Amino acid sequence: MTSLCYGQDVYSAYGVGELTFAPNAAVMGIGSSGLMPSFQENISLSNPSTWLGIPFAYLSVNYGGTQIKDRDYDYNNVFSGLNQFQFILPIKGVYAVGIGFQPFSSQLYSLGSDDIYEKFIEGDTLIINKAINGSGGISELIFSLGAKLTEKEQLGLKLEYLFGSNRRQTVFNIEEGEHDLDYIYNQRNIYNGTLINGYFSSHRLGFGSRKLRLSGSVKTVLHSVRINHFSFQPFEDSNGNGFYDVADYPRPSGVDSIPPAAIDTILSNQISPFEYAFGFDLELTEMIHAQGEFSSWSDLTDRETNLTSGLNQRVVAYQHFNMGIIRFARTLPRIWHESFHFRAGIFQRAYELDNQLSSNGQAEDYKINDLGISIGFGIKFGVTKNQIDFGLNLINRSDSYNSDKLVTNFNIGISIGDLWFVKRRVKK
Amino acid sequence: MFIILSCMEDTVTVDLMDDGMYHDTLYVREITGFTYQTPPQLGNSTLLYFGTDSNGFQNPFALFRVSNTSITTPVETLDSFVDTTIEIDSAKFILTFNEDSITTDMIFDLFYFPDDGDSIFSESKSNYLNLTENDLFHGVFVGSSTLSQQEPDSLITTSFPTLSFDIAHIFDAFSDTSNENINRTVMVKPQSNLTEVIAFKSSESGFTFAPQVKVFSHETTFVDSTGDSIVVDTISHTFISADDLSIIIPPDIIYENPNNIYLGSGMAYKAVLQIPNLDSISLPQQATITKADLSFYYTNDTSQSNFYLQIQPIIDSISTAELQGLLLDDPLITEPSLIAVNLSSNGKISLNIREYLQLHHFGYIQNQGLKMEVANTVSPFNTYSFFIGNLDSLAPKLIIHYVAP
Repeated sequence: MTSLCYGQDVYSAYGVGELTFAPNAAVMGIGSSGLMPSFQENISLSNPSTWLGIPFAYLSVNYGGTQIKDRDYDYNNVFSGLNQFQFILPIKGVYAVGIGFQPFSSQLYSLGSDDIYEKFIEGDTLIINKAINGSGGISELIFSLGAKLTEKEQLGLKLEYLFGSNRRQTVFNIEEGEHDLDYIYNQRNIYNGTLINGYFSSHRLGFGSRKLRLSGSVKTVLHSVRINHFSFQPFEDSNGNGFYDVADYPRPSGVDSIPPAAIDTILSNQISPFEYAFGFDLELTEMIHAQGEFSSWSDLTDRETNLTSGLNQRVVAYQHFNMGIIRFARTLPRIWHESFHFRAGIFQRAYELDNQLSSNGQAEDYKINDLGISIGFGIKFGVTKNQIDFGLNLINRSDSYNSDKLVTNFNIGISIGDLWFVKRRVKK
Repeated sequence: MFIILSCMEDTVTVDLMDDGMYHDTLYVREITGFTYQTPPQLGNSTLLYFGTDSNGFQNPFALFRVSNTSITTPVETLDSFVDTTIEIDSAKFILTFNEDSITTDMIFDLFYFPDDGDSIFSESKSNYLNLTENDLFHGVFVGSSTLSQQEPDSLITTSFPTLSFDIAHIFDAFSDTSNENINRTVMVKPQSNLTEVIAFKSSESGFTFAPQVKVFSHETTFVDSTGDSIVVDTISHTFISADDLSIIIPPDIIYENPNNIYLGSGMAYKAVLQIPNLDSISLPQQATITKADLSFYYTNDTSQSNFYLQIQPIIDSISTAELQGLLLDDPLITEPSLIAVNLSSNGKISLNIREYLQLHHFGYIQNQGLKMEVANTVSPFNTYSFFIGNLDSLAPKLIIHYVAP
């Protein structure tokens, strides 16, 4: 069945939707997953074990967007949104705490079939068509803590509380003779769960005077992600307005005619992410660093239970690898361009998708491959090292069906620094 | 994602075949049924009948109860004509013939009941067993009339023939507010036996042709100190019959082929249909029924089978034994809001009973069976029969179409 999609990429309709990889502009500029320092020298906004060297408290807000251009099927979709909000507070260079808010995944799709399915019943011909629309997503409320282990080793801990919901509407069109009616089925998922993420960073090693920073992280489920799934009674949209009202069938009002309440099913252990990552940051010169990261994400759920909101497929694993180079701004710039951070990198991300309901009843996997380049820059300004960052990804996405898809991500961030826990002199 | 701003433009390809919702059908057979009989009751018929049918149906008289409130503006009540400033110019009781030309010159008599209360008949309950001509012997003769027809007017609109009785001389009996036992009931019957059946339109056929009292009056008013009055324009007022009923007496015929069910309003044959498998069919929990065709095959000549049939769910349990013989009242209580009506065509009739099945599926209504009868627009002198026994392709069947997640 050939179908049409409006909104994000079709992957948006799979499982819990598009996963968020680079929530801030600095991470996007290097093409990493945020483990290694890219915001400032030795500082990553996404890795709390790097926050101990932050001289100021930071409030950081990031806005991002995506364009997906498919030359094979000649489509071009664009969407954007506020990506990350984060507050980081270093405490005397020994501890750091943070609280943040960012998307874990998002969905926005409208899939309509341009193919039809015919049924012949008792001399009648039914022409059946289908469309699926959905939107929503899962957000993360993040509590972070960084602490010094030794002079050269730091630890970090992140608790990520996942919450959110999505809605899905299946429109089933049946045409019989002159009658052409939509039957609409609504579903809603409410998500909640908690992930825990541990970080470790060390700069004990080096090559002569060149410092080498190594980091690693492990993420797993602290409180399994639960889906509260609501399945509403399908209705005939008799007046064709797309909404369930008194003109529709079964009537939503009246004694003994109201459809039963939505079936509420609690699906536990539906998403069970496990991720490990490691990376390095090698100081090449005083300002120029080379970085590399590898991360592997997988969903350890049993895969026997279908996610009830997606299409047949869901992302069950991906591996991310990136290499990049950053020229950080000088601590005390002497000329104007020394206030700039320049970032560039290449990355590769391979997704494994599980087709849950293939026609032969067997799960079939297929893979998606992203190959991308990234560039970005940041401008440091002000006494408290405020910063504006911009990051851009250009990704070639290919899979079993499509090899000419260009995904462009951009992100703009602003971070405002302030000095906390310092006695200020009273102005006379 | 806190905020999603989106620009939706173009298309991609994906497989939707296995996803979301599906459509399926269920075939339900082994539908059983039986006929039961009550006294014929034509209170909801759109026509009023007089005369004797070739099959032996007799229609001796009809009764009418005139409404106290006019349907014309200004709205008046019959009581208001007691006012001494209103003079009645004429008052007629008019029946409209169902054909557009006169085929009989029979004379009809009109009677009224000045000495009785207003409960001589019940439109929904009176029948040939509980209301006979003997019960109405005290009716007072008002006058006679024959059918007449106006010439088509200049706009070439054809008017139906009417039967018009002059009631001006008894009109006070309808408007007298001093009479606590006021009775606005009249009876019409042929002066002699009719060897054929003729029909007039009843109040169920709509306001325009409903049996009605038409009053022409004018009002006198005092305009100066000399006490002279002037006459204003004549005004007509129409009071339709709120209730009307022609009594029908069925012939002594018994239809009793157990493989058939019989229907007819003149014989008062109705049927109970039972779908025992309904409680065990495996509809998915959230199925929404898109169509449910219950179909039957007519046993006789299909060319005569175009008639309306209606079906309603029975909401009380009742045993078959309670429906044996000629019943004085119909004991079945039905759910009127779930009525399904359709026209028989080419020897087959299909009724969409999806609302009943849907509510049964939701658990709001029990499977007590369906009451089947011909609609009130069908001639009461025909008796229809359907195959109900297990005759393979001609047996009744139910096809349920549904969509489900």
